[in-house]
Amino acid sequence: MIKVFHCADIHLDSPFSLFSPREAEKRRTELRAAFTSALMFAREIKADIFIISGDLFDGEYVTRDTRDMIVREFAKSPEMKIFISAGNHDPLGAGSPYENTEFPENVYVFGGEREVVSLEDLGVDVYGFGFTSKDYRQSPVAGWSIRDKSRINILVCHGDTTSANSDSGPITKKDIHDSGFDYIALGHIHKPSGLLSENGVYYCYPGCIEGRSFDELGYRGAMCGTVEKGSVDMRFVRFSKSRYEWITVDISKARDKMDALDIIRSAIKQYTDDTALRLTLKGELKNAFLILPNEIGRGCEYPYYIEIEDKTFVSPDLSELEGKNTLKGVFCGKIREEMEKYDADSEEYRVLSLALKYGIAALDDRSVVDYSGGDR
Amino acid sequence: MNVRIDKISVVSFGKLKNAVVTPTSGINILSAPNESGKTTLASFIKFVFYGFAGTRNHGITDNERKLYTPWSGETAEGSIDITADGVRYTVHRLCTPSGKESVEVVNRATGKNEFVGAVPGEALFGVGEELFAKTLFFKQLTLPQSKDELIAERLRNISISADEQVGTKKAVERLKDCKNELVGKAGKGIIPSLIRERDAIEENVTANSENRREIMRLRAEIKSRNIKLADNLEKSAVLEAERENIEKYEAYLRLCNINRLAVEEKSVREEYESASSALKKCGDNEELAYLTAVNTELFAEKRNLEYLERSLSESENELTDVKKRLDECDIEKAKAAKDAVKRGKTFFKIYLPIALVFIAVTVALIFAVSKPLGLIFSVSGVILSTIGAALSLKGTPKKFGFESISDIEKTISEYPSLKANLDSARKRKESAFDAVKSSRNKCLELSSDIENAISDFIGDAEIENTSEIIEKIRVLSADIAKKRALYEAKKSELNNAVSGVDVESLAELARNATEPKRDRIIVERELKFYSDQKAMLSELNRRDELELASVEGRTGDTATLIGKRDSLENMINDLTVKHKAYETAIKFIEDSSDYMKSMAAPIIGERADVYFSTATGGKYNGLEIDTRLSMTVGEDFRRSCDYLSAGTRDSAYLSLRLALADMLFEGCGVPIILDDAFVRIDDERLKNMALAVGRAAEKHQIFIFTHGSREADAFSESGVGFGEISIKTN
Repeated sequence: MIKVFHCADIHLDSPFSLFSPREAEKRRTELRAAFTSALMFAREIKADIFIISGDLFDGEYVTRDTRDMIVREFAKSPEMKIFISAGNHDPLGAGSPYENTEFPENVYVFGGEREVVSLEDLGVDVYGFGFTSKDYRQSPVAGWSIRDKSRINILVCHGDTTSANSDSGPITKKDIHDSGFDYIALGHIHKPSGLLSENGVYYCYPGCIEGRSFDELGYRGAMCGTVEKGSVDMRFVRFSKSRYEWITVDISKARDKMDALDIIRSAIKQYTDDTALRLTLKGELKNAFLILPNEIGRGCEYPYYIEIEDKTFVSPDLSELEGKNTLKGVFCGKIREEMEKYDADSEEYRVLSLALKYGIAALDDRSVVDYSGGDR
Repeated sequence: MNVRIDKISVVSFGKLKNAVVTPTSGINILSAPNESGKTTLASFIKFVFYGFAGTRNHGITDNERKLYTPWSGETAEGSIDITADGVRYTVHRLCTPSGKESVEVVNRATGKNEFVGAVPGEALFGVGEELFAKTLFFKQLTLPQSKDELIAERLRNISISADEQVGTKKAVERLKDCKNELVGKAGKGIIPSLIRERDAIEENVTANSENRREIMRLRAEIKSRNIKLADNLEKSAVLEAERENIEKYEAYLRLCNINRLAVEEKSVREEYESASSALKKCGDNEELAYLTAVNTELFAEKRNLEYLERSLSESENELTDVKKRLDECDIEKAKAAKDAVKRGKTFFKIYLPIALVFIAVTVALIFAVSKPLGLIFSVSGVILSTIGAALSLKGTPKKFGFESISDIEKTISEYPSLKANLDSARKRKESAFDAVKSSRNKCLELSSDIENAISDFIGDAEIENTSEIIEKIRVLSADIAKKRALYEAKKSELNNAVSGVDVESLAELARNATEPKRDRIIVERELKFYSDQKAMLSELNRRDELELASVEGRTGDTATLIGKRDSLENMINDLTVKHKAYETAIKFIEDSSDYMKSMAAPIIGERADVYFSTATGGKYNGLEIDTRLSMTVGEDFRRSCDYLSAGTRDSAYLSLRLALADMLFEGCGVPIILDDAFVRIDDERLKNMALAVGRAAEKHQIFIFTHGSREADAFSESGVGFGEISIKTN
């Protein structure tokens, strides 16, 4: 029985372009910290094998801080064997971060050749394969030949089980079914899959270690546990310090901005300063008002980042008389008429929708400033 | 919907408590001193129909709920009885101190609650609270005293937006401010700034890409050289080991040589010592030459002695012989024999002629008779003659003891010389004897010398043959000298070999040495090659590392830059959309404004003209609002409203608002509340204004709240009917 720590899709040095440059740098630091925490945890539980199933880096550009951190942290665990397979984001090759990083001796990076590393003292054979370009259209799980079935056989690779036509190493259940491995440590899918099994072959996507966008909601982490012949026991451990969440709040009952802020604050009270929150506002509003993220609230009781996706539609309660005989009524009528020409998902529609809101707010003598934009 | 207020009942609202007002359907004038509750009553009317406004505002003056919370702290509550299109309703509203409001519109005929869920004001008047407040609720608003442009603007605002505070210009300016803040003139604004920042970052990213290629090239070079250096190090280590082994092996060889030399030195020393033991001392050339010379002299002397002794012996023999011959020489007998021989010879002389005759006969016979007979005869005669002669001569010396006649003669002839010889022999013998004696002495002397000399070499050993001994000494000395030389040479060689050498250290150094496969010079040459290569590679690496540090120093982290660039890009995109939205809003407001100017302004102007003409007593006819929203008056001579007096402008303003109410609520009567709306209009104009209001009252229920009697007087003097109302409390 061996102790295995399995993580994937770390995406170190992600640009975090969603955020302001300052916040993005903070998030990159947090991502490094999450990865460091994972390594510390693996050391603490005395993991025999530490697996990174691809996309350790987000791309070819890696900061010196990151390289130094990785080398330093890996070197702290000389007794722990670290296996890395290059993923579609960080394929092995000229200019790859792997080429420019001097890994300690306990680190083994799988490249384009299918390889097997035998750990005689553990009775384990670790098979692995890594990407050498962004696309790989063959199954990284199929086509292996197990050298010694009496040993614990682990496969480390990056691949996609969601589509047989994937450009990122398509993997079918049959591939897993027929593979004969004891455990397949997969990477690529950022949502944790939990421990799965197919014909006695256990496999798992641990998900990304820290969410990086609103496509990766909730707390994230890695899998750790034990692998022995015929039995795998892996559990999820959270390492992300923060999370992304995305909620929709209907503020149609708000008569004014104050009402809307109260409704929003009530709806997001479970999200505190470890959360980056995308807030989709919806509803038909009688009055036009603009809500800036920093007006919702700041401090430990509020998300550290709030992004407002305003999908409310302003529909002033204008009587027929008002619609025809007032500037606001005519303005609304003209904008709505124009909006009907466009698809609701088009940029033109969004511009007109915003223009409607800005115009009404301006005609109502309200603030039309809508570009706090975050600090830079 | 025609709406008329029949009764206002205040339970509790601001300073009013249990107050009741019962208005007429036309003009109602409430005259009361300041702070008596007129404005509160006006606000109560709006409260009942629309509820409180600005409840979120913190300031009391902006927050109606705070402003009109009953002084006693009770619930704000009250009702208004109305008749709407002939149906009588009671609109009841309350607002608890906590802010909970409830409203109901009860049909007084049926008792049913109607318009449930709707805002009563919106349902009854067809306008929202905002428009109600702006069009029907004239709260002490007056035009400014000066700033004609502002007045004109307000009038324009009223004409197209029903709100003198906000209009096209202000709204557009507000939007333009935002738009210009995003994209200003001459490259100013947030978006251009962000674009510049993004472009600068993009340039950095591009520069970084080039730098990165350079960094990668330098890293690759350094890495390649490091591999070579590692290989160099490895090979150098092998060569160093090889050289070390060579040094060890050389030490080993040196050690072996020393050991061999020591063994050889010991061997030759032993040989030398062994050889040396054969002689007491080793003779040198001089000594050996001396020995040889002495020995040679001795040898010569001995030979001389032998010769002398032989001479002596010969002399003695000669003497003996002479003596013997002399003793043997019997001169008497010889003489007798000589005589006898003499006689024999005489006989022989006789016998010889006979023999010759006989020979002649023989020859004759041979030739004459027969040859065989002659020969026999001759032979027999010769034989017989010879025998006879021989017998005659031979017998004579022997008779005397001589061998022959010659012997006799010899004896006789030698005798004198023998005598002389005897003396001579005696002398020679004596001389020889002396010589022998002298030679012997010399031999003895030389022998003594040589024995002494030899004994220096060989001790007391018996000397038999000096030559042999000397030769032996020579041989031994030569051998000793040779072995000593050999020994000394070996010793010197050994000394040279061990000179300055710590043998133990050498032995330690030589430990584990193996025989080198290559010469030291080859190894040294290769080592030098690798050393030079290492120096060259290290120097190149040092230069490239400096260059790398320099390039890295001027290269930002691309990942960070790209993150920043993408972040800026997103912000630019987002703000660009907003900028477009501002532009769009401005455009549509301006379009709407143009529309309003072209469509609404003339209608309002036409209606306002009626009121304005009345309000100015016919002085100003033809109030018009053109498409530029410039108000002009006068049918014959148009002049801008900007040139009117303040009071006239107020009249125009009021006329415009009444016209607006007409237009908005066309066909419907609604209550219009004028709260201290005539304060700046002088008495004369007020009378005319009363006529205008009276015209409006034909359609609408008018409430005039004033703090004095001036309005009532003016209306009376103008003949405009009105009802005076008061706030009655229970």
